[in-house]
Amino acid sequence: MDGDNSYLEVEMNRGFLQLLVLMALEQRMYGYGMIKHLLALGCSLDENTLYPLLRRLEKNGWVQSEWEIRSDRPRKFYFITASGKALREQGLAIWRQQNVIMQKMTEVSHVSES
Amino acid sequence: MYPNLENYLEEISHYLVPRKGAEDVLAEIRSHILEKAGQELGGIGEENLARVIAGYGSPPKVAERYMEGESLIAPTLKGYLLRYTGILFVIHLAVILAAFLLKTKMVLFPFLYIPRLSGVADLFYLPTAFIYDLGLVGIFLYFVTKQAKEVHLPWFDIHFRLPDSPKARTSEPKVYLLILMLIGFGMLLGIYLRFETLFMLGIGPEGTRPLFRPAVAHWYSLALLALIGVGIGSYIAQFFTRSEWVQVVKNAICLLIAGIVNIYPLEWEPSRIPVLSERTFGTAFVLVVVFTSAYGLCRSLFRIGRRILLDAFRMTNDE
Repeated sequence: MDGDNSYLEVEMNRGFLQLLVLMALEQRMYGYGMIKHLLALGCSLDENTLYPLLRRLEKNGWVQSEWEIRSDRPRKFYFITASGKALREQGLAIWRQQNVIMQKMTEVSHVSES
Repeated sequence: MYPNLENYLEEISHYLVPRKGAEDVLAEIRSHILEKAGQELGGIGEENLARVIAGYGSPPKVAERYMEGESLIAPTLKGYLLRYTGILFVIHLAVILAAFLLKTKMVLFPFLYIPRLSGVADLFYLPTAFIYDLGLVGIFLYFVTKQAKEVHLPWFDIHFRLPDSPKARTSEPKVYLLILMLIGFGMLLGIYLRFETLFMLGIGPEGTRPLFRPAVAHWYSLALLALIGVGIGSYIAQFFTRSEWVQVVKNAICLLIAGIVNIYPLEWEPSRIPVLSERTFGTAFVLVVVFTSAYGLCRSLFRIGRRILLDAFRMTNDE
């Protein structure tokens, strides 16, 4: 059933990761730093997931990026745009609404079980 | 410069489409790998880089992740690929046939060029023509996808309303099956035009051995082509209506063809093939067509009649 679990994880992560990254980008971050930051919060994010996701967000104008050289090393820093912030608020509203629905659903199923 | 890293990035770049922005993608991957090796493995060296690269993933898989959602043909347009190819192939087939009959080359500038070919060469040209048409439609849909606009491509939207017509118990018509049928029909037509018979042993300019005398072979070949043509025609009609009446009309025409074949005066002679006489073949041909068509016709008429009775019964109950 491992295959089923990974399918569900991928499906559920689609919107969640976008929202997570948009929230993380409240402060300027570069990819490697963001992976470490999210890992500290308990979210293990693969670099092959993060970088393509950042490019898609950038293509849609929700984040912007610029190269900077720090400690003799070029790093690409990302930051959220105004439209990205608006999207983030919408995403959070949806997430809260889904949480409420899910809470009610679990309460109903608990009642029917008992 | 780190040769292993640069080789790895070079390999990823081979798979990255579109090329626009590829340098930026590679620079970011380079930056990440160097950062990870420096921070997690204690320093940037070829050995550490090799370990980080091994964990990063194979170049095709890495490139694939950047191309998710980048379809060459938009999902909503994929249905048009075979539909438009089918239409184009029918036109192509007609031009090939015209070139063959007129014994000349044909040019529909700038898309089609049909060289002057013999009958057999025409048959081998058909798959090439189909692949060409598929490619042409694919390129067209690629450019439509690149426009990134919501487009509504034209397609036939014809639905016939036939009286009391239950849905025929046939599976959904498929464009690829229609194309295969047309290719098959085109090939049979090509054989007939080349050899003036479909009933022979062996194929090619030499070595063919006709089963029947020319008059008999000519007649039964035409009848067989007509039956196949009716079958394909009814299949095409199913794209527009799934009515049982289509089956009725098809089977009625097949019975009519069998009737004409049966009453057409042919002088029977012993065949050159000992196990198969012309008379036996002719009788079997007519019987097979009559039985299959009559069975199909009766079944369709029964279903239509049952529907009419059920509707009448429902109407009486409603009242």
